[in-house]
Amino acid sequence: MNKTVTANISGVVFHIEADAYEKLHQYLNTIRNYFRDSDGTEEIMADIEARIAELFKEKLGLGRDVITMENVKQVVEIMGEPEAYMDEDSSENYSNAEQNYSQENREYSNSNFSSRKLYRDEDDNALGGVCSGLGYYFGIDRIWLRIGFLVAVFGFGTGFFLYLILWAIIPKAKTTSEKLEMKGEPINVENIGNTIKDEFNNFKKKVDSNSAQQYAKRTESAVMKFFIFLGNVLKFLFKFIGKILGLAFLLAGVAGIITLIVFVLSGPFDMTINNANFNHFWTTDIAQLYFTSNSMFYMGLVGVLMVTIVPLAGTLYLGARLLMNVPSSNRVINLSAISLVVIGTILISISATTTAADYSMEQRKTETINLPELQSDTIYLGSIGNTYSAYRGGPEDVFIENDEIFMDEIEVDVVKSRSSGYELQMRKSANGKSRKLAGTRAENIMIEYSIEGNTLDISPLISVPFKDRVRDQRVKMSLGLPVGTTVYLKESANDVIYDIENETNMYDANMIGHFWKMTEEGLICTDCVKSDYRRSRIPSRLKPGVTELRTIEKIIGSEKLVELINIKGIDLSKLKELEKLSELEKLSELRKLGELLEDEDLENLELKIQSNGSEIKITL
Amino acid sequence: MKIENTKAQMRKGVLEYCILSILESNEAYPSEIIEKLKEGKLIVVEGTLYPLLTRLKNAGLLKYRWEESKSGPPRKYYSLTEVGIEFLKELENTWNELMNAVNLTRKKNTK
Repeated sequence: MNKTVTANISGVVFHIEADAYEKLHQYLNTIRNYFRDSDGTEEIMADIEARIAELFKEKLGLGRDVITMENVKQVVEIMGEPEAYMDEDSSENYSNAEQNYSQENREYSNSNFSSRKLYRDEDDNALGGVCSGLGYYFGIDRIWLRIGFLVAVFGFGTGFFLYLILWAIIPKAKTTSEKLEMKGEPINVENIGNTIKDEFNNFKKKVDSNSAQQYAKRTESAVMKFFIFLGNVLKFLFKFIGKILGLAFLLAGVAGIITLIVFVLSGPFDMTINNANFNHFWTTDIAQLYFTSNSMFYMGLVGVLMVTIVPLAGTLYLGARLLMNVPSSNRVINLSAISLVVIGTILISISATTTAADYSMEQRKTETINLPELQSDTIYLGSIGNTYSAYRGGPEDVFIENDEIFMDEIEVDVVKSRSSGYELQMRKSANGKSRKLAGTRAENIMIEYSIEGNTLDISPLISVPFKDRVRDQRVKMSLGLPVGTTVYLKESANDVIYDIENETNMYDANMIGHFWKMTEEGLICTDCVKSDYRRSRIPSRLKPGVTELRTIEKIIGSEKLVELINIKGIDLSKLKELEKLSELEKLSELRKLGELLEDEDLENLELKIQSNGSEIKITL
Repeated sequence: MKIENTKAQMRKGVLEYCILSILESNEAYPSEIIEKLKEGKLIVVEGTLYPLLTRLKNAGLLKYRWEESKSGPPRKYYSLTEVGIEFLKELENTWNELMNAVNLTRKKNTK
């Protein structure tokens, strides 16, 4: 059985088999193209068609009603292949045309790229055929572009917007010649013919939905049957896998939506800090503190909901489709999904940009306070409040009390005083949409500290008025010690000190509980024992470095150091004249020594010195 | 240089003259003309005739009239115009001259 097409050839109606029609159509198109530049193309074509009709008439009759492929082939043989027209033709016109034609061909093959035009390919589309069209334009397989766009969707939705824009601005390839331009193929008879043929084939495939079965009936070969059986098995397998996937998608979608609802209603955080309850994070002021206003906060929240609900609903829907016969998505659903994402993204951007703008400018305010109350040579540094233990660097460290926001954004350092007495330098900084606003916010930062006798206690929390919101307010505080004075770091100081420079490179936590003397060079520990240094950076290297030896030298003096070296029996003649060496040479020699001394040696060294009855206590 | 090309060129040159000659005595429709040309192996396929006829007609050498046909669409019966007859005479003269020239040349060469 074959499909037939009805065709009017020169006023006579013929029934032609579909494939025969296709062949004839292509043949006539080819000839028409050869004559396209000459006068009277239509007349020539009409004459040729009339002759073909005549020939067909001769073939028909005697119970035969349909023109077959065989008939068309015979007619083409009689009329001559298109090449014959070219060959036999003597006209200048035609040979010129031929030349043009081949020139065009050459141009196309030489500069395929430049001749391509950007169109959307709606014959091979996932959405709007943008990737397909771009793929032709750049000569890349469209699958990579699609993957690229998908990945970019997760980068702030860039891919999504880019796609929409491209969809809007790139024209769709409608005509056959546009489709050829898109693919960068020369626009000539054969290609147009091929394209039309492809389209016709596609159409044909669409028309007979079960063409495979028809084909099987016709061929009836065992091999064919085997492949069809194999195909059916595969089809069943795919269906089975599809159902499982569908179930997975369905469950994932449902779980996602439930999570989203729970997230919105109760908030993900369940914590209690300093008696402040954070069970309803999103609905408390805390989250809003980061936005410029409550409405901006809710706008952002709604935007996030809108954007996240779409893929979740999509997953749910996909699962449902794979699992059962749910009607395929229609335009209304698609459009509303797209608009949800678009509106959601716009809301998020507005909310985010206004909020970000209020963080854009930073301003610092510095003030120095002299502390004449402190008279003693030794002062004690600690912090106020023993219940609070700082969590550094998380939003949990923020809470509201009495219209004030508290946060643990203070760092205390110990430095050399620039005056003769103790002093406290405070650098407050905050952000805002203008420098002025940031400056005001910085000035609004309140710091609490107390001085009692020779003890200085600093609060680990700073407070700002509620209206200032959380705008990266922070305080760097420096306690200035005059040279020769000592500070003792109390246990509570652990909550406030940060990265205090000292001559032994000891970590903050290890400095706690010791006396630190301010020298011209910096802080030196006066009561540390060897085990303290062990916990500092020295033991990690196992070999003492320059700084450590310099410390030893400072404590015991160069003479003693040289003596030590002598006891150890290390022949470093140069070190004997350590006094005479320049600072740089001394350092390099000490470095050599440091490299020679192992941890165990240092221990022996200490013992030997002590047994020598030396008054000096060495701490290594 | 291909022999096929040269042969085709020679055939093309005399094709128009032959068509006009066929139509000199009586009118004919394309299929008849083709039959005669095929006998003389001047053309192989039919398709090539139609553009030629159209060109000769456009040049005012040929005219045609329509006639109904029992086996298909109406046929074009071509005949010579006044100009066509004049043209044919010119061609005949030229052909004879050429024949002489060719014969002469060939005789000389064979001597």
